[in-house]
Amino acid sequence: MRKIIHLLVIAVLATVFIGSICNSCTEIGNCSLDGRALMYCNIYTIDPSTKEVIKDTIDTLTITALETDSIILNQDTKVTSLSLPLRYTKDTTIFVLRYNYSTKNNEMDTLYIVHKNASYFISMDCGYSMEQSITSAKKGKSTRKTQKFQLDSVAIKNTDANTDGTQNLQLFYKYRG
Amino acid sequence: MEHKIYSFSISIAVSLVLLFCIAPPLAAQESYTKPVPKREQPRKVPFVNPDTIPFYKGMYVGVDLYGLGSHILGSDFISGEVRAIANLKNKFFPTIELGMGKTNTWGDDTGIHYKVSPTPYIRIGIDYNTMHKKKDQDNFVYVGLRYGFTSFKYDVTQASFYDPIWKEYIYNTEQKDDIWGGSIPYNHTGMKASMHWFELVFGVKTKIYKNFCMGWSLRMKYKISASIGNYGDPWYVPGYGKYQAHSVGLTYSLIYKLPF
Repeated sequence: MRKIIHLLVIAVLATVFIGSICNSCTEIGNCSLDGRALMYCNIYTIDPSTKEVIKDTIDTLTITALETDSIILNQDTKVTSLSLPLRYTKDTTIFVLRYNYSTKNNEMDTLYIVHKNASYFISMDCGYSMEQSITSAKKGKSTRKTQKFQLDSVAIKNTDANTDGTQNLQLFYKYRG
Repeated sequence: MEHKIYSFSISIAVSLVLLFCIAPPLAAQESYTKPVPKREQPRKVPFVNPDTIPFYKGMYVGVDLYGLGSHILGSDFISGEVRAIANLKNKFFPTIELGMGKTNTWGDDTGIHYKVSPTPYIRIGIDYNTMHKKKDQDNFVYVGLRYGFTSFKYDVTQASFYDPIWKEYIYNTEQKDDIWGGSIPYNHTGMKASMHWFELVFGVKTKIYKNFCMGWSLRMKYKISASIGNYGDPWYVPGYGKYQAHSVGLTYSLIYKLPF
């Protein structure tokens, strides 16, 4: 009888001890998908004489979006690429790209992005991720035909907004010679 | 990964220490009766001739108590399990394990509700008794392998809140748009999933009274494949635990040796 009691005590202690170790092992969650997925864009121009695609640089750029006061990019200089958030609650996001924001001379382009949004449950520890897929992208009319930087066309390279910097859009600007 | 391996190694080490440091004194206590002069003691035969052990040595049935016990101690998961074990030459133990698992959990401060209704799972496999050559056939230290499968449905829903000042719903507090504001509701019920996995088993089992045995086992579980819902990963998988590439499990069983 004493043997049984001792064995029971050992078994319970061992079970609780090892169980707590096991629980602590499995509590380590992998939340590496954390962080807002973004739409990554690179800026190009095409030399009309050689048809060569060349990386372009915008001197100064400010980006805002419709229906928010937030400034997404604030007078960044020497811009060659962009990482832009897409809206969670609507399937269209409209960006306004201003080239001389400080002088208020109203040189800007508009970029229309249509996308699908889907919340994806990861785990109780990590919560959700928002999966956003671009279905179309187009540019609006430039405010001035004489402006230095003029968005000419947009090409989709990859539809899924991501956290690893994979290029989604190519923004082609008019060649400036 | 290194942390898990380290933790697992610690648990194995602790298990072995418990097994080899605490069990021998007990065994000594049990066998102690009256000193017998050495010359009168029968010659000890520590090993048994395998040819004398019959191929079929009996059948065991058992229940796992760890699934219930861990829930009482605070785990989000609850499970119950029965198993049938055949003893072949006291060496191999083909095993089938049938269980039910469920969870109904609210996330702390997140408003996430995850639910799996009671769902069956099955494991089949075999254990190898490393003490089969010993004369003492009441104690078992074994290693084994299991294949597990379950098919289940899971619900993930998110509590929403009404903001009386701004007069709007916050549908998902865990996923607000920090630029435009607002969130979208998340309510997906009845998502279907299934999973295959295998387990490496290390365990001990000992006779406690007549036909009754008791034992525990430590299990490293590895996902083989899974089919999951379109709107989210499962969080709890019956019989496997948390949905991840690998996990650690524990069983604590009471076992009865059938009299045939």
